[in-house]
Amino acid sequence: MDLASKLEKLSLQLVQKQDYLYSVTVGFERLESLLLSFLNEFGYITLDSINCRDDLEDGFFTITYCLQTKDRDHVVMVQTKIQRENASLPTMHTIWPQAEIMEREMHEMFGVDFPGHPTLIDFALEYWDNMPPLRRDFDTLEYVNSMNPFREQRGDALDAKEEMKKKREAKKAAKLKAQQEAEAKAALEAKNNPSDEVKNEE
Amino acid sequence: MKNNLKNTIKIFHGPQHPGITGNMSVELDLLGETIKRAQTHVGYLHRGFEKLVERRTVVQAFTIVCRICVPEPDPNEENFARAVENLAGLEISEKAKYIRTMVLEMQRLATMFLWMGGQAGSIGLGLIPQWSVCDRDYMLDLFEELTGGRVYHMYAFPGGVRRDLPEGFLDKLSDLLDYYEKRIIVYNNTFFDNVIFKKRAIGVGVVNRDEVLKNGYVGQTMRACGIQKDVRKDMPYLMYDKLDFDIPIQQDGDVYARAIVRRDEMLQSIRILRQIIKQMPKEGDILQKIPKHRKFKLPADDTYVQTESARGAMSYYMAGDGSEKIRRMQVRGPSLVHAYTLLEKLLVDSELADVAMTMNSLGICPPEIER
Amino acid sequence: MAIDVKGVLSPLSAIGTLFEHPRTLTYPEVKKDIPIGYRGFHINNLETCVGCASCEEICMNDAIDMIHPDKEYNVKNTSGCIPRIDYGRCCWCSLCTDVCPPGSLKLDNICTHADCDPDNFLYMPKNHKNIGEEAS
Repeated sequence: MDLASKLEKLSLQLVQKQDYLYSVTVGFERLESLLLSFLNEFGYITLDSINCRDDLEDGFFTITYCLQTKDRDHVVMVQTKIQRENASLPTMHTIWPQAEIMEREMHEMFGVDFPGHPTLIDFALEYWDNMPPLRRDFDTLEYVNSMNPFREQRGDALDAKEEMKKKREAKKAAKLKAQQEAEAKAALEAKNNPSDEVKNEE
Repeated sequence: MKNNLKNTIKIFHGPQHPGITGNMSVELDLLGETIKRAQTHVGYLHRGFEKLVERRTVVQAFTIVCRICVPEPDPNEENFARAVENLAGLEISEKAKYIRTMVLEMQRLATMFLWMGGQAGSIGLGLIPQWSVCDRDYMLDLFEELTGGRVYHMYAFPGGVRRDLPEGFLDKLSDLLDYYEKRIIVYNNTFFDNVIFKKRAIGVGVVNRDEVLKNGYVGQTMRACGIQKDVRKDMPYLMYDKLDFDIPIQQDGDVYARAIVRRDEMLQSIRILRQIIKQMPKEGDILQKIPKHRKFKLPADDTYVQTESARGAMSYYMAGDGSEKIRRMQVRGPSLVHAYTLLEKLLVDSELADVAMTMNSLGICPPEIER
Repeated sequence: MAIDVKGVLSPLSAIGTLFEHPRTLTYPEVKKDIPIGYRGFHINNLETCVGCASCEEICMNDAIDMIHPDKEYNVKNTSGCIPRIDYGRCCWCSLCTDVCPPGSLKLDNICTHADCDPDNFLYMPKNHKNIGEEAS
């Protein structure tokens, strides 16, 4: 592919992921210049979306810019990693107007800062004072439990695994008991008429 | 622009307004009847799907993606299923591919009928919504038979589809298509050729052709400006490369052009469905065997899939991390850019009465903006 | 400016529909038959239910509880429990019926339930004896 050799000159590698999907990983320092050269030199004029992924265990966000040419016959993902703490990205809204709203959403959902962005106001959550909700250390269940009490009506629910264990033990105990009873009965019978067995054998 | 905001009245158009396409509001600054500034507000329908998916296994997450856009759930299901298939390396059978393509096209028709109701209702043609919602219901009846649900189908599963075609289904579909072809002539007479619609719609909401590609406008908004692009042709998925269809375009870029593009697309959908009915394989697996839901693990990789929904390209970004849960699923529907970047610009200097009509013709679906 | 004669006259063809039979009106009332595969309320064949709690595990809404039945229906029931569904939470995705190992839990095509007491939304699946046999 033509793009691969162009990127090789910038010492970047183009990876084909699917039939119509390519990706290139770039360091944070070169992100802005690479996006500009994608737009101006390589002809990738459409910014389709900006995605953010929270890699909590490794301590960074993975940002993906999805770009398309005017033919719209394939997608190139430009990926970069930024630190989770005090995350900040260059704003692209002067180049792509639609980046304004995507960055506003990312600011609200992940807490990524965009210096120079004109409207970093609330997007969907109004008066939200907790941590940005799409960060993976935000626990939805805990938050919901602290906000809304559950209805107290399903207290009779049983743990099926426990019940299985109980039933199995009960069955074993019953079996054991039955066995003991049968043995005792047999012993009793043998005591009462000891000649029976002998007769049967004959 | 801010200097002009003297002596204006502020009006919130929505979230409770019959002319709005869902639970969102447009804050308008009016000077008389003319809009001087428009600002979109969402947040009335935030359900946090992208967060909910993180807590669920792949199989469990599958059932909530269809709720992301209520009028057309199937492109969401298709996107989700295809993203999982890409990540997990699943191949689906030819019959499953055909069935999925069929469901997508049926959904496109159903959505177009609903759109037609909204578009006509927003300019006061009360008759058309009555008819078109009724016609959409016939399609929902077929969905009910095929998938078990009228609106939320939960049908396209990673690895295929969940149920086989019922007996005689294709004949019923064929009959319905005959009926639809007749109905579209009626809609032509009463709606698309209607002088009231033409007078209201021509020259309103004109999208600037130069900014379409750069700003990422998709679907009918793009095709009504004369740009012949469609994900089904450019990046064919499922069976679309084996089906014969055209991409209708118009040149004017106004509300009327978008309506005509949609009508032509309905005819193309009927054409595609007729081919599918002919080519549908009789035998074949419908669902590939996948591991149990606790053992179905996604590799640590990411993917990006696009599907042409009835309102434009809808994309999903999905990343796994080697566990049974999805690390990140991001939805990028056509509405996000249309409702903010485009609508806020289009509404300036237009009339108050045209707001609902413009919104409808852009195909804005609020549940998909905020997810 | 020329008058759009076609645009004025063609919508008048809608008058013709006045003489058609309305599609939405069925009088006397005809109930629509619900197709076989409809995802309605749950039914459970208690004679084959093994109490494995697969349905409880896969339900992403935590709608299913395992509880003791009033009497023992199936001797082979490993836990002695049967599922009960909270219809305040159920989304009728039918994943629970997909994973059911003996195929005893099914969705019926009955789909109406109205009650003013939210506690009555805890729904005990109706015991349908012959479902397992029909399926097999």
